[in-house]
Amino acid sequence: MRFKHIRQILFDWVDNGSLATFDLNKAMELSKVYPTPKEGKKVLDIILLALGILTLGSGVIFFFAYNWKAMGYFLKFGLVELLIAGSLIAVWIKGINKKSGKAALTITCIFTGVLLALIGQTYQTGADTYQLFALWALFILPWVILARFSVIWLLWLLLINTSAFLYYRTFVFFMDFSSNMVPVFILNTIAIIIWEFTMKTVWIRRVIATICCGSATIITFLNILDEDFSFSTLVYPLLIIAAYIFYRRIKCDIFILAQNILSFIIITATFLVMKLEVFDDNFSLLFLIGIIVIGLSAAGGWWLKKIGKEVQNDK
Amino acid sequence: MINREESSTLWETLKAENIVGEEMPVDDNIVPWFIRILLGVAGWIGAGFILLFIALSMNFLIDSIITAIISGLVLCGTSYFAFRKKIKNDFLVQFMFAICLAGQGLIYFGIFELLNEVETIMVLSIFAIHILFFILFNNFILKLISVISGVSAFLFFICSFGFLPYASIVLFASLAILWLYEYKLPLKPIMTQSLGYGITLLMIVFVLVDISEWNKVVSSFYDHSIPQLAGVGTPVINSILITGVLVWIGLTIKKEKTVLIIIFAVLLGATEIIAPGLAIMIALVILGFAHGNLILFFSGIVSTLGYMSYYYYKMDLSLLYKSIFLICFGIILLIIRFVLKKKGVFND
Repeated sequence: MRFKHIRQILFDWVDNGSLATFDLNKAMELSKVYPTPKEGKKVLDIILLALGILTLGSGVIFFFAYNWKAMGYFLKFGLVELLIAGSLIAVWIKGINKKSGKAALTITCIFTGVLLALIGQTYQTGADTYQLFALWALFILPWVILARFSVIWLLWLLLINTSAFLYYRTFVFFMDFSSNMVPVFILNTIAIIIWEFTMKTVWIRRVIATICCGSATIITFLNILDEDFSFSTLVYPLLIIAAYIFYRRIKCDIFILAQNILSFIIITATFLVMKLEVFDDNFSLLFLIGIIVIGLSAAGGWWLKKIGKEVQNDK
Repeated sequence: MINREESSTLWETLKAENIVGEEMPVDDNIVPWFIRILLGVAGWIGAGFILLFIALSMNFLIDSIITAIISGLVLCGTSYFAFRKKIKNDFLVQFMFAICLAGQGLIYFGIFELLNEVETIMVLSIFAIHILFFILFNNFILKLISVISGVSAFLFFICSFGFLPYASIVLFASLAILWLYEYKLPLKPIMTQSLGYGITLLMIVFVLVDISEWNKVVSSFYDHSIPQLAGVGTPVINSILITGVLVWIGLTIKKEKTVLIIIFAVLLGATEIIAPGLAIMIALVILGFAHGNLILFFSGIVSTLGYMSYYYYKMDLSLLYKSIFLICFGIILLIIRFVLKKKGVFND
């Protein structure tokens, strides 16, 4: 029940025969699914404002993009710096403790990146791309700390990830994609550990966990294809076990458990395909692997639903 | 989010109006969206392995068109009977899902081999088969796949007669009907929802890909260039038709404020001439809000934002004209908002 909205509840009641199909509209009216006139006016106000600002802002951006080559350096830099100054003024007016102030500071952080990109484009110093993201992360760090806003922390983490990935790709592992994902995996594992002890925002924890799990899955998947089982036998099982212990026994997060199950299914299927040498004329084993995949997903789904019920009953 | 007490209160409210019975059904089917995605993705992977198995190990099934189609029908028939029995066992549900997809793959293969010289009849056959699958299979994902495949086949069919420039109107009018009347149609919610979301997804994809690309896709499918019932007046015709649909949407949602609705619809419809598809993306937001459909509402918002990126790269107009249009449109919207605020429309 916890995850359902009124519409879905009523649809379920129609599906199981508790509510007649021709009574659905009346049920929706009684359930106040339809917005009230007051809500309608409020949304119309927001749509006109948001759409107006979006199209006006986009038009301005398009205009400058059209004239970009013809613009002098002073105008280009002045424009970006004006945007940074304007958004900082908005932060000062709104106050850093308000959501609108934090949103304005987030925009300031984004414009800082635009300014650095413009510097890189204008002064062709031969700097590497990873330096752009590293400097970007460094310059906005004071704002990130001051804001105490999860979204900015996520932006900052994405910059660090991008910088690390590009650094290793340029100087260490070059085109070896799976090795280049290792620093991403390590950084996000550290990030999620720190996050669990410092922040409370659930959706950002899930984003970081998704990047962590996704990078581990990619590394393991590519390593298995290369018949290199070092990561898959040492690190990957540890990750799955650690995720189970923490997100089942200590903190319950079904979303993170679900993505780990999906990762496990993908890796298991890949491992079986390679180990059983399916494509060396053992095609009949494909059916077996298909059944195993379906079995694992069914078992995983059953287990997750069981956990969901336990969580619901505890509440 | 709704909890057990709220659903009990809701049940009591409906019971007071005599539209439900005494006993509220016990909900033991907690399936959050991410679990559905897990099951769906894993089901696809499983289906892929089974299809590969059939393609590589059971060559005799695809050696002949007849055996391919019959095998496909047997597999689909098996899954039909399983879903009809409303199986609850997760393993069986997933297995039948995979079997059904494998069966559909075999049927496609058979139809393609049989009719690849007569593309028009091929697409009509695929359309007819998917109508059948849509009606028969009691599974949301399978119905969604049927809608997407069937409607795509139908679009290919009408495009062969030159209706490509008007395909967006067909899709838009269809999804407007579905979303405006979703609670009133004499169909189970699983059908209206799968139809609605399937057509909405196709609509968004259609708008966000340039029509010249669609022309190439359709021409390469038919192996020859197709006629186009398009001319200089096509953008204006599309604009008028979309304005008509928008007025109908507006008046269905809100029967008062007719003049305001018409003005807003004409303004949005006019954008179709310079920014084809923008009005449709905005309409999704309105339709989603009007029926409390959060998925549709946020899809509309994301699509509108995505449209701006797509519009930047669209090659039919220069950035200068696009910027002038967007700036003027933005200013007009803000002026309308200002006027309405002054008149007290947004006050209680």
